[in-house]
Amino acid sequence: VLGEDFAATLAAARGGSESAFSVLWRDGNPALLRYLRVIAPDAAEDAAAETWVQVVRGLERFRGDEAAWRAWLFTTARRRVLDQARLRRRHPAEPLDEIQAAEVPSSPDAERLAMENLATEEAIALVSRLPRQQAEVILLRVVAGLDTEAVADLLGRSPGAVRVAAHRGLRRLATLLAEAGVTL
Amino acid sequence: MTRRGVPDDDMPDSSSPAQWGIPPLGDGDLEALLARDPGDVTAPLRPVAEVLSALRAAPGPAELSGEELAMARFREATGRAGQRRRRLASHRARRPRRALPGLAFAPWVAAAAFLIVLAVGGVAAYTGRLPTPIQSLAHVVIAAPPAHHETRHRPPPHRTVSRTVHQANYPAARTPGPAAPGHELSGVCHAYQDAGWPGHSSPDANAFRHLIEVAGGADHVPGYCSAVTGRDAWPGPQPGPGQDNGTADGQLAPGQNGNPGPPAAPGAVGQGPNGQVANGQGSASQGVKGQNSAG
Repeated sequence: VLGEDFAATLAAARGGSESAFSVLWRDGNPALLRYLRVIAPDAAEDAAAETWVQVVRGLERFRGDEAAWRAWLFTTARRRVLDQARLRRRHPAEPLDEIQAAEVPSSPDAERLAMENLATEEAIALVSRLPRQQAEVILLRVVAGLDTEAVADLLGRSPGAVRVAAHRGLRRLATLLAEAGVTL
Repeated sequence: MTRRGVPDDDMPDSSSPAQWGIPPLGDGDLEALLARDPGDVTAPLRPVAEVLSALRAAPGPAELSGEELAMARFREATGRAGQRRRRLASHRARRPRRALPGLAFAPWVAAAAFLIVLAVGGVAAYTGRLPTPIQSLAHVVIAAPPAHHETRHRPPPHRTVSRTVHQANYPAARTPGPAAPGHELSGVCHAYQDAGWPGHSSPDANAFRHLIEVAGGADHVPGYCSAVTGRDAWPGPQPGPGQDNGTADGQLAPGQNGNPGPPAAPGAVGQGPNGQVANGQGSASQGVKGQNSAG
C-alpha cells in the first residue's frame, strides 16, 4: 500500500515513468498472485501477466484513488480468470498424462517461493481449502485490502452476503487450525 | 451442492468450533480480525490472525520475478503512446500555423487600436490639445483648429482688478488670460461682436452685465472682446445693456451665445470663432494676441 505517495506515483506512471510503474507493480503484484493462486491455482502466473497487460493499456484512462486502483487491479484479474475458464470450457486441454514428461512445465519460481516464503504458502494453502466464495472474500478483504462494499461490487453480491461469507470463512479457518492442533 | 439445491458455500459450517474447544466467535470479533494486527485479537483467534498476517506478509523474490515482463509491456505501451503523440505533433507541425496562437486576433486588435487612436487624436485635434507641430499638421490635413504658440507667448498671470477702478488703458486693465473670466465670457463677446447689446428683457442681459463688469466698463468691452475672440471689435457697439441698440431680444443665434456646443464638423472648424472658443487654450492664445496687438 503506497498511501500518500500513490497519487504522485500513479501520475508519474501515466506520464511514462518506468520507475513509477515499477513501484505500482511491486506493490500490487504479490497480492495479485496470492489472490490468483487461490482462485486460479493452475494459471495464476499467466493471469497475473495478462492482468498487467490490461492495466498498462488502460493506465492513461484510469482515474481514482488507491482503493479504486486496487479494486480495478483485482477486478481485471478476476475477469481474466473468468475468461480463461470460459476458454477452457470451449477448448478442453489435453489430459495431463498424455503430455510427455519433457513437456511438463517446470516452475523453479514455485520451488523457490515454497522455500523462501513458507508461511505465506501455508496460509494460501489453508485458505484454499475453504469454499471458493469464502476464500475469495477473505483474500479480497485481507490481501487486496478492499472493504466490504468494494468486494461486494467486485463480486456482484450484496455487502451483507460478503460479510456473511467472510465470517463463515474465518470460522472455518479457526476450525481447520484447531483440527490441526495449531495453538498460539 | 446439497440435496435441497443450496450451495455448499451458503450452508452452515459442518463442524462447530465448540466441537474443537473454540469459543463462539462473534461477528464483531471476526470483522476486527480482518482489519487488525494479530496482537489486537483475543487468544482463540490468534491462529487465524497469524494466517491472515502471513497472507499480508512482505513479498518474496519469486513474487517479483515477473517485473521485467511487465516493464516490457509498459515500455511498449508508453512507446506506442509516445509514437501517437509524436505523430500528432508532426501532423500539427505540417499544418500551417501562425507564430503565436494569440496573433489570430492581431488584425482585429490592431484595427480596434487604430480606431481608438484615430478617435482620441481627432478629438484632441479639434479641441486644439495636440502639441504645436501635430496640431499644425492636423490643421492642414483635417482642418482642425490652428496651433497656437502658447510657449512663446505665455500670457501674464491674470490680475484681478477692483470693479470700481477704471483704467484708461483697457488692455492693461483687463486682459483675459488662460483661466481668466474672459475665457468664460468669450461666447458673450462673440454675441456682442456679432449682434451688439441685447435688450433689457434678454436672458443674456445678465451675461452682458457681467461682461461689462469684467472688462472694467462698457467702454472697455470692445477691446476686451477683441482680445478674447481675436476679432476686431464690432463696428458699432452700443454703450451697454439697458440701452436699446436696435437688436431684437433673442436675436443671438444658437452657437453665438457663448455655448461652445459639440465639436464642429471638420469643414466648419476654423471658419469661425465658435470652434476657436470651444476650448480654453484657443481663447487664451487669442487673448494674448489681442493683448499684444493692443499693446
